[in-house]
Amino acid sequence: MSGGSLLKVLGLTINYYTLEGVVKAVRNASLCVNRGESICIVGESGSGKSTLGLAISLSLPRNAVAEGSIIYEGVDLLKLNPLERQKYRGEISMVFQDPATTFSPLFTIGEHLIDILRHRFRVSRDEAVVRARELLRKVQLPDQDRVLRAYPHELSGGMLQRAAIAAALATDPKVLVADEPTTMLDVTTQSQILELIKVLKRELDLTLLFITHNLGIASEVCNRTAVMYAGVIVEEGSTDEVLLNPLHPYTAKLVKAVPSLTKRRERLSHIPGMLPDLRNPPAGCPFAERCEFTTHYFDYSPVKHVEAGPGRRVACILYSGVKA
Amino acid sequence: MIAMFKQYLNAMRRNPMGLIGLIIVSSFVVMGLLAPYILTRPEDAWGLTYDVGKRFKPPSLEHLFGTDECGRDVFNRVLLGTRFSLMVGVGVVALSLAIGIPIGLAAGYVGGKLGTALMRVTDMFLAFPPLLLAIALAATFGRGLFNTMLALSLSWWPWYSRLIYIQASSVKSMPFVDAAKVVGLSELRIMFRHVLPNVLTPVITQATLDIGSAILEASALSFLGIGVPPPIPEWGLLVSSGWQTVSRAWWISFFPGLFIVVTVLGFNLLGDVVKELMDPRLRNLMAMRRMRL
Repeated sequence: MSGGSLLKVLGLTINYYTLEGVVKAVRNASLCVNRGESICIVGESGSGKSTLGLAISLSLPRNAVAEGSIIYEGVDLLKLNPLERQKYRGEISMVFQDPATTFSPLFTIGEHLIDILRHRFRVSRDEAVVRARELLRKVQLPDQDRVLRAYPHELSGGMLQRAAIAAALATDPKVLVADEPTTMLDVTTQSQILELIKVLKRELDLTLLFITHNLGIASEVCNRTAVMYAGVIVEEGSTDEVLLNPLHPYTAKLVKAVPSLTKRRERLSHIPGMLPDLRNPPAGCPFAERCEFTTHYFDYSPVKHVEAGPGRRVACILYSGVKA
Repeated sequence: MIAMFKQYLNAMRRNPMGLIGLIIVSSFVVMGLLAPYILTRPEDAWGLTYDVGKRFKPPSLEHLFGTDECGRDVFNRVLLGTRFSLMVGVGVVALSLAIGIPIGLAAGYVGGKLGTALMRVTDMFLAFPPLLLAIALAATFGRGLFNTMLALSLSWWPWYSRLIYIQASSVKSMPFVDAAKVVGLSELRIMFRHVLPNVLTPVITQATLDIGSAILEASALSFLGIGVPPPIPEWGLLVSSGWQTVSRAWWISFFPGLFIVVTVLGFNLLGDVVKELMDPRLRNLMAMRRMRL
């Protein structure tokens, strides 16, 4: 790891104001990302991991209200006025889940890239074309001129995702948030994209925030992992430790639910029960209802994060007595 | 620009009906522009003459489309009417788009209180039957070409703003809007460069179809006596002027009516090509369909 913390999320709470009520998507999340690190946010659908990613890349929808702080290079991004915030957009870039909708269907890939480059660096059109071609080369797309002229629907999913990565890198970002960038792709393309992201991270000295529900991908790409459940970061630590020695009962169940290719099992294990209603989340441990360690004299008061080793935190009352 | 033109030519080649539409519309435009110079009987055309002896003459070599109840040459009147009817049709739609698109786009993309406010105003206009509102407004503004256009536009724009609003509020949650936000493009730029082109297709199509309806509605106002004032040879007015005598002299209403039909058809055919040009996905689809034919 080269250098101290680049991005710090402190006590971040994000609420969506919808017609059905206030959805508390992320609650009191704290995360420290060091420069050059790659950190994974793992969780099932609806756990708030994408919302966290959107918040960090400063592109939450208008009906979302974020409280707490996101400190990037010593500046609290949430305290900035919109004009100042605009300067930081692009510093933290993002790759989205579905490459087919990352580009406006009416413009070619080239038009998208040139638009971004000209807006960001105020360069001439010719210069932007040169840079766009360079970006496409960087993401290992062959025949760059053809891709520049292509409309989004004319490219395959894998090529589009590469182009989307090129677009995300066009602003010369320091942090790249990748929100399930491989979920919509088939398995062979998935591994190629993962490989590409790893190579780019090394080459461009990126700090990577990788959002996924796939623990296998997490172990492959990231050195640290944070597990989210119902808007709360329940466990955090080095990827190997989290996956091999999960502390939180939820993580343990998640790891167990990964189907194995080698071991034949009677049935796939799953986690019984459902996510709590995020409009009215439980005050205590969000996983209590589904947790096998819950007893009827369970304490429903808020759970504190416990340091359980170097860089290891867990939010579970099982460990409230444990001291590192 | 040249690339645009090439695309257009290509689309035309693939879609011969569109070419026909383009030919019809452009020849009407040329006709409208040149009308004052090619009229054989300008006094008849402008409706300044009255000749009892020549009333209700059927079509002949001398009077191609016959003569009307005042003995005026219908061909000349229809020819001159081209410019007025096109002006009304295009003008009404253009004015309505100019009001409807910004309102719908702002309401849909910005949303929130602004969006609600704008859409409730739109709803207020939509609450009136369109022709009724146009009649009320036209009666208030008084007769005249521009007043007719204004009255029709004011009853017309809510449809466009509604259409744009619905599209914009769904397009704004598309990932490419987020992607544009992430890389730091400004909201206005996103609104006009990314959202607007993506919501325009149905509106452009609707607008090309509406040019015909606008011509018809303008003629309805003229017919009621609150639209374009009589001596002006607007097509709708010409149709209604021959309406009472249609059993004796069909040609007075028939020819201007025919011109309306052909113009509307031309705009509709053209609308299809425009739609295809606006959407690259459709562009390829159409190309494929042609190839299989």
